[in-house]
Amino acid sequence: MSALITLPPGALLCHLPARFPLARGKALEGAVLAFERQGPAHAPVVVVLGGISAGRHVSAHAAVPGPGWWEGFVGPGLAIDTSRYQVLGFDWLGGCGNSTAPGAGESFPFVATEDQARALCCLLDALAIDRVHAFVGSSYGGMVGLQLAALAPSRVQRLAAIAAPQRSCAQASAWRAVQRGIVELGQRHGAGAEALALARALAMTTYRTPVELQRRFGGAPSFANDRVRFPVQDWLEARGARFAEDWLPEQFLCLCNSIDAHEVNAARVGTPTWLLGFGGDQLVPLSQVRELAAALPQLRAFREVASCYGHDAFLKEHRAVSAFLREVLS
Amino acid sequence: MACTPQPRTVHLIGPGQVGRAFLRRAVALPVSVVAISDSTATVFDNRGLDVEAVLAHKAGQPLASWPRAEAIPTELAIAVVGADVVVDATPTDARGTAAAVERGRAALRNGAFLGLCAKNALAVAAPEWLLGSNRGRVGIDAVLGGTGHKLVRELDELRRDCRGLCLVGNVTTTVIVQAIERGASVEQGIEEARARGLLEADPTCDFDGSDAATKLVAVWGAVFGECGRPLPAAGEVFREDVRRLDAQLLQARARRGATTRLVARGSATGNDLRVQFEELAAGSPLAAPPDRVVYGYELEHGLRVHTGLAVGYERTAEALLNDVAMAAAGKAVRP
Repeated sequence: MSALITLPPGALLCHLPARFPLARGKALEGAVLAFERQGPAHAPVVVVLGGISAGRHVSAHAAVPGPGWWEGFVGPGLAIDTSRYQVLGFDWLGGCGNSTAPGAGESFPFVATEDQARALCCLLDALAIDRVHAFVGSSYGGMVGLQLAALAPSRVQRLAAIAAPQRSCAQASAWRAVQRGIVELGQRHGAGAEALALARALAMTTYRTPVELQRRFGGAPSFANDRVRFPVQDWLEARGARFAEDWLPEQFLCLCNSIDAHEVNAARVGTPTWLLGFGGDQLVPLSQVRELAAALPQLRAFREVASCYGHDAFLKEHRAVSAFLREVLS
Repeated sequence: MACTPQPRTVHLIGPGQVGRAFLRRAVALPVSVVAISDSTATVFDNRGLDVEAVLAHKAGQPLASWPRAEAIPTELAIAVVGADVVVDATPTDARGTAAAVERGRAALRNGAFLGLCAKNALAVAAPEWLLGSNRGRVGIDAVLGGTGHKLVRELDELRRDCRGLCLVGNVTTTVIVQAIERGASVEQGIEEARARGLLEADPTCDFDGSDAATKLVAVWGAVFGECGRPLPAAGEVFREDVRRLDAQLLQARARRGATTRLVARGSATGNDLRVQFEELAAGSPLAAPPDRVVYGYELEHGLRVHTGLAVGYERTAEALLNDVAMAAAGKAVRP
């Protein structure tokens, strides 16, 4: 049993093999991968994948006009130019999109980043795409890109990994462990959705930097009924509530575990690779990206960008990220 | 909601391939098989049957020749045995539809949970069995290729919001189509399906679209039907015959990256039910591989997709077993 799958217009579906074995044991039976394509049908394919909260809808296009998760980077004339490239995105296995994922109260096997990469290979097989022109992955998407380039380097001509490490660092895992603990506590007490919102609020503080939060929310607190309330709380609560509208606790736990278990042998990444890391990223510190760069056999470039947006710089630093993408795709 | 007692005893009707596969698996459940019926007789022991012995006997001769077999009508046997679960694993046979419906009714009258395998009875009695007082008492996962649990679980929502159905429920034609897409003729495609064990002794129902039409009517009855109102007749659904496929057309579609499937469609009106071979783009949710079925429910905000792997008698038996296991655990799927 799995979460409901309701495909909106423009969403496509790939049926994975009847039994899809998973890297850490067990298997998915009859699983599906929801995906979306935009751009000319026969143009070179660029796979674009983001963090765990990103999905198949990368940016607005004629068939799906609503905003995507990476507006401003992908579209006609933009860094990933959809008049020249066909962009392919998919919903994560185990996540909140329309791919196979746990439903409310349901257990689900462990989905590793290798599994997402192998699911992508199945999708490429189904679409008769032997090799993609590029894989552009940010955060979790970058982890999956590294796995793909290690598992099947011949399927990717070039890899752009943004804010993505070989393995999660201890500090990031610690923060996520607390988030999972909050969610599991909530589940045990019948408050899974509220706990998920709280965990997401905590996560937001790890995506950004002290500098940005101080600048945006450094104002004075308010006092009422013997309680103190800080300006940042409205933002945190809104972001947490928004997240909990779309996600089930089980889905968050699935992908949160997947991030923390991620580990790729950089020496096996057999694809020309471009790396982008951000100064101020608390989840994937520059030191980790440097370590990855040193271990990659086919590193083409490693770019560092200082940003007050921390890990979320891949969503916010339009100029720097666009320049990086143009360099990769040139 | 009334508390349903946990079933303990099982009466299997139809010890054919699916029935035997079901019985082999049923040993893993906390149930006792107390009766087995074929078309000739019922073998019954309320302390539990020696299933292997009965099946060994059945392999060579009808159950009527089993010592102490009761050669009574199956509906009567259902009442006499009084099992908690009646599993009807008889194959679909249009001529036997009325009898299959009566068997199901007898089981439900007797207070049993009914595990269904054949679609023909459901295509007549879907509203009666899935709505009203029988809700949660009929397992249809095997009938619908492993998608029945999902349909029952979401039935309230689908009855409220669904506008139309689109089903790819006939695996045999999918295998034939894929063979043609690889360059085979229609006849060679049929032979491939036969070689893979997908054809019944009389495969007419697969070939002429009757199988897909019957499933369409069954699902239509669940989603759009009303108790007491007859369902559209499966025999009157417009159908295309796989034997009349244009192999060159299918191959041309495949070269363009598209594919073809036998798609059964219909809206709430019920006057537009049809089973046709359709061109499907790459990425269509209906472009199911030959190991599964896809049942689509058109909602205002998109297509609800149910996929099922209960294809072939082993997996069909697994789906039956799941229905019975849930009933045995007191967790029969309810809307």
